[in-house]
Amino acid sequence: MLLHHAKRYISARIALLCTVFAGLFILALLAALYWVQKSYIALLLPLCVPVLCALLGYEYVYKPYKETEKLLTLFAAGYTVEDTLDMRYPLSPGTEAAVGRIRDIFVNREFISASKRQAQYLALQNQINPHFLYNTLEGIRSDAIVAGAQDIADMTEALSTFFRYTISNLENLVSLEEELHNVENYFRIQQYRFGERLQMRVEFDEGDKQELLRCHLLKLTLQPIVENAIIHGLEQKLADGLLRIRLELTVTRLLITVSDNGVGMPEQKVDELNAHLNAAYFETAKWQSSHGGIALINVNNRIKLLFGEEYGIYIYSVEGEGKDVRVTLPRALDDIEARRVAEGTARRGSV
Amino acid sequence: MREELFRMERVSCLENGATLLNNVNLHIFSGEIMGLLCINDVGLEALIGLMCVNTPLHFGRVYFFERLVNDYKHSGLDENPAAVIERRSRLVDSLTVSDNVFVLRGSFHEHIISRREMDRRFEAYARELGVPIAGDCYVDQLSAHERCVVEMLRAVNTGKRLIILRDLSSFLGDRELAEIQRLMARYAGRGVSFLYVCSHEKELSALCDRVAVLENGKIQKLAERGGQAALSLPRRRAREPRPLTREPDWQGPPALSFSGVDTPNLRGLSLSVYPGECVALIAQEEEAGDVISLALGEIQPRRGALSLAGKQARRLIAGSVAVIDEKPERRMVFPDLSYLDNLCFWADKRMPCLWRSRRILRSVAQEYYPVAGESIYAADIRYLPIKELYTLIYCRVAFAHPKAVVCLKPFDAIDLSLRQHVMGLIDMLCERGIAVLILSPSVSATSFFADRLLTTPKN
Repeated sequence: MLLHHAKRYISARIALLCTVFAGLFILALLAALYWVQKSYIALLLPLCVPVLCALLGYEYVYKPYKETEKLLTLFAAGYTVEDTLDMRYPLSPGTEAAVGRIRDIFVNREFISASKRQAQYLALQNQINPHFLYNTLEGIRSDAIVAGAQDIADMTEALSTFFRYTISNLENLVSLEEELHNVENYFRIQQYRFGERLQMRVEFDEGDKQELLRCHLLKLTLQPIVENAIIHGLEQKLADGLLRIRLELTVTRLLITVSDNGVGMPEQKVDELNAHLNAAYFETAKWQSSHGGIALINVNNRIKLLFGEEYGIYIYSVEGEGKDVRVTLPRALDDIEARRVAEGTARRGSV
Repeated sequence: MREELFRMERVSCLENGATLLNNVNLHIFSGEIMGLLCINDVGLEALIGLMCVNTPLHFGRVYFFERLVNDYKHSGLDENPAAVIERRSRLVDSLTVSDNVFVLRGSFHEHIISRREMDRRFEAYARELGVPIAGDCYVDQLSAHERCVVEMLRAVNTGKRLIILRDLSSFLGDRELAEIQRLMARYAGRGVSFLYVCSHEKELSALCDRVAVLENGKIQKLAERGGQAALSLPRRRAREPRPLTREPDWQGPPALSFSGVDTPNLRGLSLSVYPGECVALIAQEEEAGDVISLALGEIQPRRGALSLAGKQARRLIAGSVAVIDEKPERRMVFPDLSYLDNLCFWADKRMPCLWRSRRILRSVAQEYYPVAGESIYAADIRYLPIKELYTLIYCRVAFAHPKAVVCLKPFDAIDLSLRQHVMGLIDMLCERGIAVLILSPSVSATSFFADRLLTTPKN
């Protein structure tokens, strides 16, 4: 039993080490007493045992303990959840059970908060009957066309499509093509406000186009980032604003960079926001209630929750020099693949 | 689809409680030339170190070829396929070039070495790349440029996929740099990636696909090729904007003049530097060495004439022209003396009773207080920051007030914030009517600063 537990638990390793030490020491002592008449060197035998045990202890107890300790420290500092819940060397079976219980609480809590937004959509959907909304918008559009107000007709159409995507479709994962289409639609609505002053460019390698557009990601990943770039970056800029969405595909990842040449952010705010984006997702509750940048944090939390801590958002910005929001996602060419990544993350969290 | 060679994800690194790297995210694709513009040096060593060896992290993950090689939970201390090329050589001087390239690598297991075969292989290799270096040449006979080329060949030959080039313009001339860049482009086409570390934005924007801006251990901004925003950052970031207050006296005689000077490494050098003027001479190491020897009065020209403040001389008198050496904070301060004693060190010839008179010393301290600040009263200068040591050296020159000062590579291998500081100090010398001659191997370091730019025929 002790040997079995010693494979994993630090407490069992300490117990095993003490047992080995005691046994070896007695043996060495007996051997020394037996051989001492022939050679005094035999007296060194009991001294070798502590050295051997110290080496074993360093390798099999101290190093795993340091790793666990570091994980717990980082967990306390708000850096990571996943790895702490999945630690290689728990202190004892009791600690492991306690961590398991904490994990259950987290998972439930996070599922509750993740589904909260979904529930908000549902509530919104119930309050505003989507068909009633679409019909009304369609009515406005028809009247506008009849009256020759093409701008109003186009704007109404864009708004209707935007609502249709946001409210009606309750699928969690969508293709990048759909997401880009929604962003372009949203951008069209914003362009009615800003006119030609605002431009958007989507850039990618032509060779990757087919694969890129097939990639699956969380619904409403890009639109909140684009909205943030327009409202906090470009709106306050007097000169022309350019929004660039750069898409890159690697063997395992989809990298999306949303850049604006707007007013940028002060260093302190960038640091603060990045620290929160980097922190474990439950750490961001306080930030949400008192600061801006909620949209980015929400998107980041959803990505981390679904795909794991190695994915998410990072911000590069300098005041007066614009902002780049880098989104790192798993490369999932279809819904099934995306769900497999998500399930992998969930399994890691629940092992 | 691009192959991601290197990725650093949310990496934080601490040392003795100080944060060296703070939440750093960086990725480099295969075959990409990535630039790293350093506003200051904080975290640079740690960043390069982590690219080469998997040392412990405070937090974050490092990937090579999309495979996790280092994370905060476990660091294997093993090496990554990355090599650094910098001023310091990593070759064995007493061995030949082909020994360094072919023999000194882990995968070399042959028991009998055919030198002729190895040299022949190296020469074929070098010829293919258009690099005229002989395989049997000893490393200590190579020039800095050749050494860099050999290091690059060696890195590629030993399977390194990421080559970090650090401050090459601080010791290579423009022509040599262009040659290295040609090789970089060639290897980039074969999938080798480069991280080009430099503090000159023009150099980076001309060469790199993307540029990351490093400041205080953080990547502040990423700029794609053609995106000028991030590259204009350093100028905007200069905390003390440099007012152009220089007013050279071009009417009077030049403070320092060389007319048709011949030395072992110079042929017919003619140049004049006027009081208050800053002239940059783009010269190779040995040419710069001769100019310094002439300025120090160590040699006299074989032919031609020198003049100081309009007076011709066969040889300059030692001490009449000041020389500020490369890396002066290491070579030109006396750690056992106080700040004030260091400051007055060159002025004792002008004022013999300087050391005895407390009144004069007090007056000197008062005069230089606006430039040096509280540090001027420091009794122990060993713990002063590097900026303060630079201030001390330039103030020493200003106080000694020579007609001219020759500065050897004043902007090379220093970070951007220190560069701004040194510019301010050189301006201070010019404002005091001292002629400044800057010797540098590359244009990029000086072109934006000097009043005139001269170059020797070799460059």
